[in-house]
Amino acid sequence: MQQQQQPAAKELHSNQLAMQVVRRLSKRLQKRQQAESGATAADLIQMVRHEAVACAGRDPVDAVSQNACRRVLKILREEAVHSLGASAQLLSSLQNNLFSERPIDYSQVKADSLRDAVSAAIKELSLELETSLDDLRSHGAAHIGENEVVLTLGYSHSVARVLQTAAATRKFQAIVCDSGPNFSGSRMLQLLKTVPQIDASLITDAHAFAVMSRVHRCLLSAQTVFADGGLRAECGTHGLLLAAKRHSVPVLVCTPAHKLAPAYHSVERANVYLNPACLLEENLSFAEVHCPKYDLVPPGLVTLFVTNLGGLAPAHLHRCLAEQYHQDDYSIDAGEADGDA
Amino acid sequence: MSKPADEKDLVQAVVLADSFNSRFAPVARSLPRALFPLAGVPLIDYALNCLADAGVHECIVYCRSHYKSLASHLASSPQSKRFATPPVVRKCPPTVSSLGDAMRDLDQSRLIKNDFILAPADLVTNANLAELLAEHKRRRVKDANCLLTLVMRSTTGGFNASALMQAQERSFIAVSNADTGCLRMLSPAAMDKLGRIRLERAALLSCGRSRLWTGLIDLGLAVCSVHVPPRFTDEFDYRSLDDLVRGVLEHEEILGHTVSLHVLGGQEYACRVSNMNLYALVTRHLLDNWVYPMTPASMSGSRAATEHQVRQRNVYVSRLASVHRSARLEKSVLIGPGAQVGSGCHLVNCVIGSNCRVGDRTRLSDCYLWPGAVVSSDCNISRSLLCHNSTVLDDSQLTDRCVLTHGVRVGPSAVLTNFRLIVRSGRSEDSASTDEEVKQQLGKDSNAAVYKSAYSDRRDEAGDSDADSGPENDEDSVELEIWQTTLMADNVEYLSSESDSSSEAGNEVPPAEVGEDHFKRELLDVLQRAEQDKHPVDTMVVEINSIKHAFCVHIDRLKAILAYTILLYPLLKCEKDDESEDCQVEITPAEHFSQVKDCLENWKPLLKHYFNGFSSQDESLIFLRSFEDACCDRPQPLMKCALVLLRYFYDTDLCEEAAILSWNSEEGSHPNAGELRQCVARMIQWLQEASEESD
Repeated sequence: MQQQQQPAAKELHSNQLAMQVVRRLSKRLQKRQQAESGATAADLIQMVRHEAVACAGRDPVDAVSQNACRRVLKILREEAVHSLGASAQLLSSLQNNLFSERPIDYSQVKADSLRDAVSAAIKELSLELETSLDDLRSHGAAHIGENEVVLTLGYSHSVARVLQTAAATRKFQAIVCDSGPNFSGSRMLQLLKTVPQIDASLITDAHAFAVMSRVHRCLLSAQTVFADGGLRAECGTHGLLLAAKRHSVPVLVCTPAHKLAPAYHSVERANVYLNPACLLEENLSFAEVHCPKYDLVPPGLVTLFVTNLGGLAPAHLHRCLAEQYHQDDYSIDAGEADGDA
Repeated sequence: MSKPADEKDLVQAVVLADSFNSRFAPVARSLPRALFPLAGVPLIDYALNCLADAGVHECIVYCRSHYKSLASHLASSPQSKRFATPPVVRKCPPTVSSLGDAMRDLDQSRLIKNDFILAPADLVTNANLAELLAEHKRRRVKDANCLLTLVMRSTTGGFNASALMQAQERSFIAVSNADTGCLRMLSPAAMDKLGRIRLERAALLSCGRSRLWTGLIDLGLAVCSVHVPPRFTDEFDYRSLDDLVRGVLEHEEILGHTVSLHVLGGQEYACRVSNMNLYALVTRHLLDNWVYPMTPASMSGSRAATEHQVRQRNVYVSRLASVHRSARLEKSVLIGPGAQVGSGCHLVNCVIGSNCRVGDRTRLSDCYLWPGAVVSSDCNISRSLLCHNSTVLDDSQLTDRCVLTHGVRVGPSAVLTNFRLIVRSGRSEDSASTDEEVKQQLGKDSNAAVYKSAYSDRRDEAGDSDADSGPENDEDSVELEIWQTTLMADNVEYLSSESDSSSEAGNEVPPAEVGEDHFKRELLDVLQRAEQDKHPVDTMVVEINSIKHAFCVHIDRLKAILAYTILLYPLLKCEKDDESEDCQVEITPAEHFSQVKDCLENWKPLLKHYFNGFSSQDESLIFLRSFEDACCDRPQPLMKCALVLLRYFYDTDLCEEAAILSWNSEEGSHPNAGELRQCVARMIQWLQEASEESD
């Protein structure tokens, strides 16, 4: 079903995907808590980690599901520490310290005792994910001024919503790069054309550099944001960002917080390679054709990340990370699946 | 995927896991072709994956040999878990020696309940078979006689098609109806010395807008209706799908069956791994992502994504493999789990199977190492296949299409080039050579010998003298070479440049066939006999049908010739009788008209039989066109009475008003056509006025 399923799965927005994972996890947690009286918090944590590994296995590019698992893990760990009392809480704050020696023993905590607290926290998390897009667009709209020229690339649900929201109070011009080879930019254009306040036009990716001097702001989205400010974003983003840097145009990246992954940028990060036949119709057997779906953009090219929590400078991403995820859950590897802290 | 409640919705597939030839003989002796590892995954898994994608519930795998290994593979394959019921392996009796036999066996077994997909096990495709199946079903609703949809791959346009094309044994040309996709003609592309392709006139004339396809690759893939296996039972001498298609096209009007053609193009990859060149090519394409979404990573089972680390330039390295940091993996390389690659190696376009070992400073390019193969240090190997557990010892050179079969050991310092098939010595049936020189080439620790197939023996004996009448002529007994070395003719370029030219019916008329002249003469005889002996129409139908099959005349041609002959009957009859006397026949238009009128009255049921009662406008048009042919060929008597005749057709309901008008608006191909139009202008005018009045 790969051919049929892939586009269907793409139809889900990232926050819907995250909510799906959280819902699934909360169901499984409840089941586990009810079914096994002897289950401890450590068991629950391990179960969620396994799920995260499975997510990574199914689709290595999909950081959102893994991040959702990390959020749930953080909740479990926090509530467990909370029930352990003051000494553990002290330890947990010290654990960020390099010199902590004794890890917290989560197996002392009965899973049953966490039930109410965890389900309340998960409910809160679901609510946060649900409203993330609305929060994001109200934050994002503030960055677009009257009569500005905004450049964007391809289709993005969140960018479209931000532009629509901004158009409610001001007039501006939007330039959309068509983003080959899937040309999702035309879809974006159609959407923006329905808003009378936006003067939208479509250009090819190659023209991005030429129009950049007239652009006030680049407003983009990303598939994943890495901890160091690197991006995994739609193909063509890297070139666009380099052009923006050359012309000193500020670059805003709209990203809900659940796209923020604790990993660092590297060219070896997972990517999807599409069928080269969509690029090259010629019979060139000697040519080597690659058609990556995403650009792995190195850090240092983005001015500001617009998240549902507000604007974040790249240097402040780590704080957001520390707030959202537990340090122990930063790396989720296949090899680590069985041994949890 | 669960089984549907209704049996009507059940989707079945038949996979042929036996090629019924012995091309891969020494390699396939211990491993069936269906289980050859292609980029680390058994070949049949690609076909099964594609079928599972198409929503197939039940899969029947046919094999003749290696039943056990296939069954055990299917029991454990991750792909077989995707079907509602695990694939059934059916072992054919040894008498089964072709696809036709397998289909007859299938018919007896009564396993087929519905339309099904027929696919060979060595097919690698990412085409959307679900869409094909749906299309076939829609077509069946419209035309219940559609027997099967044949699927082929066009090699014009899209990806590395020309490379694919050159590695094929043969390509096809086809003519199909541009609107319905109904196949009219299919033949292997064979060109004469002038580079011309021969098309059948009937195929071009019979359907309205036709489309000419060139450079089609046979995939052995078809969406078959439930009537296909019984058809094979009826025709006990059909051996392949080709036979069936040819049979259906030739006898179309007897049983009324039709075959549709679906041509894959663009991003739809499809190819059969039917020789070693194609094995190499498909592996390359697979690694280079041309078969997306089937990639080495997606195919390697449930833990697909974590199994391989994907590096740039299509390098896939298993996490369980150990690759020395100084080894250079240039591009398109797959390294399986447990494999070891030593220091200073240089790998390009290679597949290193699981648990292979590659020693230090070895250079491999275009090499395929099956699990357990070992290459020692300082070797240089290119374009070669090393089967399971084969070993190449130090400092060996293998270049240009060498194949080392299972368990073979060569070297050290072996030097092998050019189409060498190396087997283990000591097998009497391989008629291994024991040349001193060859032994030296194989190296002193070798346990191997050079394989000599029956084919190469025969070729040696025959020598180069009669290369033209080579074994290709005798398809059944041919021992095919593992690398398809006789590549397609040099005319490939020509073929691909001539693509997709739509040809309007009748525009380029190939040289008239001799058969048709004979047929005309025979038809006249039949009519004459019928007139003399007052045969009933039924007898005439039987006689005409029999001569039709004797001369292989298409039904539409038959209609045209019949109408033509009847319209000129008085004239032709006289000519025939007076042939010997060599005198000029003179018939006045009035006489001719009265005689034709008699004929038409007598044989009206006959015409109605062949023209389906003149119910549709198309039928009437065929009749009118032959009327035009007749008038223009013999203007002497006919042109004068054309008007009366046309009036007569109209009065006796042979032709509808609309048909006459649309015929009139056509441009005739004859030089005299304009004259004829003028002759009947009064009639046309009258018809037009009448129709305007009725409006």
